[in-house]
Amino acid sequence: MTSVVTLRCEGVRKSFGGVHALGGVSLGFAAPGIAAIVGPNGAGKTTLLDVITGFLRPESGRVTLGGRETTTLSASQIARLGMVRTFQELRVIHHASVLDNVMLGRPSQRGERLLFALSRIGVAKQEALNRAIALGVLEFTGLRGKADEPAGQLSYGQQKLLSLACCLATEARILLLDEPIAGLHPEMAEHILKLLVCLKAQGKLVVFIEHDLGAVREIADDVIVMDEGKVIAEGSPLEVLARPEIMEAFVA
Amino acid sequence: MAQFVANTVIAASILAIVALGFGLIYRVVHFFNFAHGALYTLGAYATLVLHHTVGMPFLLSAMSGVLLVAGVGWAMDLAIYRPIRRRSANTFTPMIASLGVLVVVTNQVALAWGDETRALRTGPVVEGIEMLGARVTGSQVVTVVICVCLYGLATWLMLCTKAGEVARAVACQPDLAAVVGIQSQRAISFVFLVGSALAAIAGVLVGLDTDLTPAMGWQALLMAVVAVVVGGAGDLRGVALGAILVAAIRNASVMVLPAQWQDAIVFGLLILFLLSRPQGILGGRSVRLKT
Amino acid sequence: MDYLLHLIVISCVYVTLAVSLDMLAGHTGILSVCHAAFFALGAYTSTLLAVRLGFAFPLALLAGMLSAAMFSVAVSLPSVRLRDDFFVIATFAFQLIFSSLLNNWTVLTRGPLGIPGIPTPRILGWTVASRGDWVFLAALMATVAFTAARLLTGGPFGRVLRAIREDESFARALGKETNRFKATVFAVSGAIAAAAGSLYGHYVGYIDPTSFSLGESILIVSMVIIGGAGSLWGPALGAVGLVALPELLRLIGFPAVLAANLRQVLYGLLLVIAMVLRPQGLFGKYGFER
Repeated sequence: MTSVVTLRCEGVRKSFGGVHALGGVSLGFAAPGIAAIVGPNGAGKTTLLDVITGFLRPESGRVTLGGRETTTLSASQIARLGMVRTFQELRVIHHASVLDNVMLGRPSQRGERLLFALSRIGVAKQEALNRAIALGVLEFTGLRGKADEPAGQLSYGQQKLLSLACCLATEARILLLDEPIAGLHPEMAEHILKLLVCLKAQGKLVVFIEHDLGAVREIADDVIVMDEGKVIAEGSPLEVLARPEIMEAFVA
Repeated sequence: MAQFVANTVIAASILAIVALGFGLIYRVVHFFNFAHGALYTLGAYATLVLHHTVGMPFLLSAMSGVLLVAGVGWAMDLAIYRPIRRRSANTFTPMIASLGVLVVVTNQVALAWGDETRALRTGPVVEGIEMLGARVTGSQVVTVVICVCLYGLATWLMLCTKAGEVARAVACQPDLAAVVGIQSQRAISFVFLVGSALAAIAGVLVGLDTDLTPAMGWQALLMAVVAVVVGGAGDLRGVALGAILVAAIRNASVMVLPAQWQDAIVFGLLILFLLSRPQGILGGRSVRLKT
Repeated sequence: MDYLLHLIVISCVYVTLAVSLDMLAGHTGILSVCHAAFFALGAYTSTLLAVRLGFAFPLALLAGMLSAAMFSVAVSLPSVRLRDDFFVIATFAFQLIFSSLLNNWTVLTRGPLGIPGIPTPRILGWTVASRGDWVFLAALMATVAFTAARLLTGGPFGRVLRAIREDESFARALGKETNRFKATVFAVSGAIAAAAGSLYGHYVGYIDPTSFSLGESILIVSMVIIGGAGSLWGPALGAVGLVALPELLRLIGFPAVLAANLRQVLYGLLLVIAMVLRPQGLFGKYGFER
C-alpha cells in the first residue's frame, strides 16, 4: 500500500539582503518516516521549510516532490499536491470554530467554486461528508469536545493540536511542522509526539523542526543538523546526537 | 521655461509643507492620517475668522490660528488615536477614523461658513514681481522661503532634540500597541503638535495665494499622499522629493494634455508606485506586503 | 406617500450597494473605497447602451454588470497583494481616476452635462413606470443581491473568505488559492454594485458624475462599517439608516441643502466613534483588528 513518496531538495540557496540564510542545502526524505531538523536559532530551518513549501522562492536549487519539480510552484499549489505545513508563530482562524478550522483544510470542496456556491447543487451533501471526516480528525487528535468553540478560546497547546488537525484534514502525505511541541506542557507534548508516530504508521512523512532533543531521540528516524544555512550532519539520532562537535554547535 | 520652474517650485513648496507634516506623522505612527487635510482647512479658516471677524492683524491671526490648530491636532491624537493604539497595532483603524474626521470637519466648515469661496487677502491683488525671468508674487516667494525654513526646522527637531530622538525610536517600533512609556506617548503627542502646525501653516499660505473653500483639505491631502508614497515616507528628504515630483508632473502634464487630466495623471503615478515600489523612491526597507 | 416610496427605492439601491461591499470588505477583509466606481460603471454602461443604442433594460443591466466584473479584475489583480492601508490608498486612486474619466471623457460620457433622457425600462412586456412598480423592482433587486451575498458568504466559499480575512497565509498553506477567491468576490461585488447603478440610472432618468464621486464611496463604506462589517444585515440597516437620516433632519426643520452636509457630519462622526469604541459596528462580529 505504501508507495514511496520522496521529497528532495538540491542545492537550495536563499539570502535576504546579503545575509545567506541557506547556503546550498541538499536533502532527501521518503514517506513513511519521521525526520527532525535541528540547529541553533538562525540556522535557516524555518527558511528551508518556507522554500520547500513554496512560501519563499530560492535563488538557486530545486525542490522535487515525487520526482516532480515544485520549486516555482505557489504555496497553495504545493499544499494541493499533498505537502502541508504548520507555522512557528501559531496560526489558526481565531474567530472561526474549531470544526470550521478543520473543515477549511478539506480538499476539493465543491462549494468553494462560484457556480456551486450560488446554486448549492450537491454542496450540502459534501459538507455533511466533510463534517464527518473533520470530526473524525478532531477525534483522532483529541479535540472532539471543543469542536464548536471559537479557536481563539483554546489554550496554546490545544491550538497547536488544532493546527495539526487542519493539516490532517487536507489528507496530505507529507507534513512539515515548525516546532510542533515548543512551549507545551510535557503531557501535551507527549500526546502530540504519539500522534506523529501514528501518522508514520499511516504511511505519512513527518518532518519537524524542533529544539527539544529528547523528543527527537524519541520518535525521529532521521535527524538533520543545520547551522548557518548549511547541513552539518545527517543520520540516525543515536549516532548524530552523540557526536560532541554537533552538541557544541547547539551551545554556541 | 523659467515660469515653469517658478510655478513648479511654488506649487512644490506648498505641497511640501503639507506633505512634511503628513509624512512626519506617518513615519512615527505608521498610518495615513487623513485628518491632516482637516487641520489644513481649519488653519485657513481659523485665521480667516481671527483676522476678518475678530479683527486681529494678519500675522497675529495666522500665528494664533496655527497654534490653535496645533492644539486641535494634539487633542485629536489624545482623544481618538491613542485609544485605538492602545487596543492594537493596526494601521487600518486609525486611518478610517481619520477619514471620518476629515469628512466631519469639511462639512462642519461648510455648515458654518458656507460653500462659497472666501478670501484671506484684504488688499488688492498684487501685480507680482519679475524674478529670474518669471513672474511671482510676494506671498509666493514668502511661501518658498517658509517651506525651506520649515524643512530645516523639522530636520533639526527630529535629529537634535530629545523629543525627536524618542520619536525616531518610536518610528522603528513595529508594534505600536506595545509603545506605552510616558516618554513615547509624549513624543507622539509632540509629533502631532508639530505636524498639525505644519498643516495649518500650509492652509494659511494657500489661503493667501488662492481662496478658501470647505473642500480644500481633500485636494491638499490627496496630493500629499501621493508625494509621501512616491517620495518615500521614511525620510523627510523623500517627502520633499515626492512633492517636487508631483508638482513637476502636474505642471508638465498641462503642456501635453488638457488641464483637466492633471489629477488623473498624478493618481496614475500613485498607482504605479503602489504596485511597483510602495516604499517610494527614497524608501529604504521594502514595505511589508500582505503575506 | 409618493415621497416615502421614493425613499424606499433609494434605500433598496443603497442596501444593494452596502451588501455588495460587505461581501468584499466585511467578509474578506478587502476594504475598497472605489465602490462608487462600480456603481457608476453600471449606471453609465447601461444608460449609454439604452440611450444611444436602444438596448432593452435587462440586456443593459447585464452589460453593466459584465463591464463592472471586467473592471474589477483590472483593479484587483495587481493590487490585492498590497498591505491593507496601501490597498485602501490604491482604491482611492482608482476612484479618483475613474471620476476624472467620467468628468473629462466627454465624448463618451458628456462629462458634467450627464446623460439625460434615460428611457423607462421594459422587462418582458412589463413597463416599469409607476412608483409602485419601481418599489417592486428595487426591492426585488435588493433581495436578490442580499441572497447572493448570503449564499457566497455562507458555506465553504464563505469559510475561505473569512479565513482570508484573518490569516491569508494559513489559508494558502491549506491549499486554498486565495487570489482566485479574492478576484471572484471582487468581481461579484462589483457586478452587484453595477446592477444597482443600472437600476438607479433608469429610475432617476438622468445621471451625472456627481452622484458617483469619492464621497459616495466613503458613504457606502460608512454604511458597512457603522452597520457592522461582516454581518450583511448590519450594512443593510446601516444603508437604510443613512439614507433616512437627511429626511429625518428635514422633518425636524433643517433646510435641504444643510441636511446633506449634516448627514455627512453625522456619518463621519459615527465612523470615528465606531473606530474608537466599537470597530465591529452595530451588528458586526469583529472589527479590522488583526
